[in-house]
Amino acid sequence: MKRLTIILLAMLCSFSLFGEVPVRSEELLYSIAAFSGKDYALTFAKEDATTIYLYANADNFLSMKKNFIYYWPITGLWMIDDSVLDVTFDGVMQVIDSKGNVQQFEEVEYTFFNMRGTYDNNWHVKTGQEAIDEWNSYVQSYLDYQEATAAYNREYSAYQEQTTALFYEILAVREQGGDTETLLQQLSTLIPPVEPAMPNIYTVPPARIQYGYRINLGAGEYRLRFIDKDGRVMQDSEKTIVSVESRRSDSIGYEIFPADRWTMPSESFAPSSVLYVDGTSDMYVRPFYQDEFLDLQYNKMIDNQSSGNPNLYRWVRIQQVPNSSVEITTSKGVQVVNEQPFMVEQSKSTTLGYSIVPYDAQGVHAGKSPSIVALHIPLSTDDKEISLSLAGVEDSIKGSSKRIIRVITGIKGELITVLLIVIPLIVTFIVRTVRKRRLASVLVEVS
Amino acid sequence: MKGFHGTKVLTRLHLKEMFLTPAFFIAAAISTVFGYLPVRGFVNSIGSQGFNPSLSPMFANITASLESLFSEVLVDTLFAQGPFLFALYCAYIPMLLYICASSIITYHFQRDVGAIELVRFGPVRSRTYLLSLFLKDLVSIIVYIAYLTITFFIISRLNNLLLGPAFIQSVCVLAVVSVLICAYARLAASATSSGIGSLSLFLIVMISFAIVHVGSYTVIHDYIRNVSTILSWIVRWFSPFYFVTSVQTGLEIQSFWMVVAGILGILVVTALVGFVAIWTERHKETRT
Repeated sequence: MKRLTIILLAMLCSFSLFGEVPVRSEELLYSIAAFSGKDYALTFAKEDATTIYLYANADNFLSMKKNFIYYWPITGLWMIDDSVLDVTFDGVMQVIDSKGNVQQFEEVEYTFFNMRGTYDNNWHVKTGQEAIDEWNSYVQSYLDYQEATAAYNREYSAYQEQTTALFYEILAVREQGGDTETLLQQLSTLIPPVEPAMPNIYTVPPARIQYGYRINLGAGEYRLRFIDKDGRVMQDSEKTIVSVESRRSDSIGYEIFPADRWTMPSESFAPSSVLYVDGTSDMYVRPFYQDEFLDLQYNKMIDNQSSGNPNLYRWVRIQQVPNSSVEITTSKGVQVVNEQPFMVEQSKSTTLGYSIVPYDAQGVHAGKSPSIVALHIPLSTDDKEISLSLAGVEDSIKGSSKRIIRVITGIKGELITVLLIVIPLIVTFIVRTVRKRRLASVLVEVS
Repeated sequence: MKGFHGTKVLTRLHLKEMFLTPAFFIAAAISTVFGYLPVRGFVNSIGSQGFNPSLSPMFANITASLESLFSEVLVDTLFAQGPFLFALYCAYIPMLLYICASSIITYHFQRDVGAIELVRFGPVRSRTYLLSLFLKDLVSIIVYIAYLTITFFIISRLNNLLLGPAFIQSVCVLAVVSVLICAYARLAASATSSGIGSLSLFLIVMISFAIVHVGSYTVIHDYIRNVSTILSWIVRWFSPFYFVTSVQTGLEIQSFWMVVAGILGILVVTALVGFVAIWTERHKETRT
């Protein structure tokens, strides 16, 4: 009996040693590279997902796959496991619009990448041979870089060897009391090799060549299905595509960096909204273009498993306004502020910890990149209201770029507020008193 | 004494009754406190980076609840121009409920003591009485909205806050939608024979409209949202909340026709509900 108990206890303990293994299931999936207005989001639509959301009038890539999927409770999301099963189906994709017109899409090779520019949105898509060429060019540029780095390392080793040899020679000549002038001159003429620069034409390098169906649809609702090689509609492949269009576009939003918390920016999306600040520190703002989408549709577009509000619209940041300037109106007048680069410098003495100074490319900041490129809005607690709007843009954009900054320095006039709130009570007190008196006088008259 | 004149006299009488008792004023003061608290919390939540709800415990809880229930977008929209839009709803909803509830109770009290019957056998019809109560509710609401707007305006000036166009628009929209809510209160009063019954009916109808409407906005669960969206599609044509949202969206995106359609919708449904309330009253009149 004792033995049996020990064995049972040991078995019970052994269960706790193993974590819960997520259950995998084999599913037919649509793998989606969806354009989101600013970049490409990779997501997938499960078998039970009825709708796929795609950005209207932009290239999106879909492919039909069979993979294992499992539920990951930590993130609350379904994940793909393609280590064991990764089948991509051949065939054609058919998209049927509300009038019954059928568009057929063939599989293509594709890649997408973001080119480096002053601002962050230079997405390009290439398909077919162009995609292969782009990928090859990217791979070649890296191979060239690796080769150049290897050559640099070799040259640098040779340079170091030469320098060390000369150094020891100089020491030896000095010990013997000889003239080191020629050797020193020789040392100074030795030039170190230049380190090759990393290929930096891409901010996001081209994605590895993939095969997919390039879907570019106008706004609206469509039906999607996959036709296999035998010309039959693949079972469970029928879905609805909602091609999403922005309700309003090219509106202006602002990213706001308070000088005392520049790592914690906030954003102002709603046009004509008011920015309330306490005026204790200056503000750095970066205007950006924004489009307005239905919350649910946009969330589903970038992640088909996500949720959102089907009735509320949200602003989505698209890209920074290039070379912006703003008109600032204060009680002192109108001032135009241009975009400038700034550097965040660690302070040695202040309690703040750092200070934001104008970027000096030729001087102290030579060789460094600016920490932030933004518009500097000086603020103080004396300012009551400052209004700002983008300068040098169309009227429609200017209208949406208007913001009011109000400086709030704590709650004021609480006594007056309390008086305002008790006004109804004072009124009822007066009414009752007057009535009482009137009633009393009437009673006196009657008696 | 029939028709317009009778309505005018009775409305004046109801208003006098209301303003002579302290209940209306106490309710107004309490509702305004409900409105002022968010304004105070908002001011205490302002830091160097702007409005930061985590600086005020009250606001941290309010915004977290709203975000989890509706999404961040709603919170951004609600506080885009300051605290007064949220404060307006906080003050207006309890006051509107009080006015409608007190009106329902008054109606049943006066019916129970035979006042309506007396009036009906006299110079006015009971539908005139019903209309006068409806007008009294509207006037009370307008008086309260005016007082609230003035109070908020002074508070905004004192604290360098902006009332904002969204607040002004909402004041107008709420004043218009009050017409429909008051009509529902009248219908609830006529539909049942007891005060408690009418009050319960009115609250159930309003809460149902609110739940169905709010449910379609929630992001908690797809199922709840989908069911609410379907229910909302059916009941929205009678829901004051649907018309409020419609008019406000129209104002936000500057769609004239959306605003006009929303206002017309409110007036048409009010007329319909009012007609049903009068028909119910006349039906009762015939029976008695």
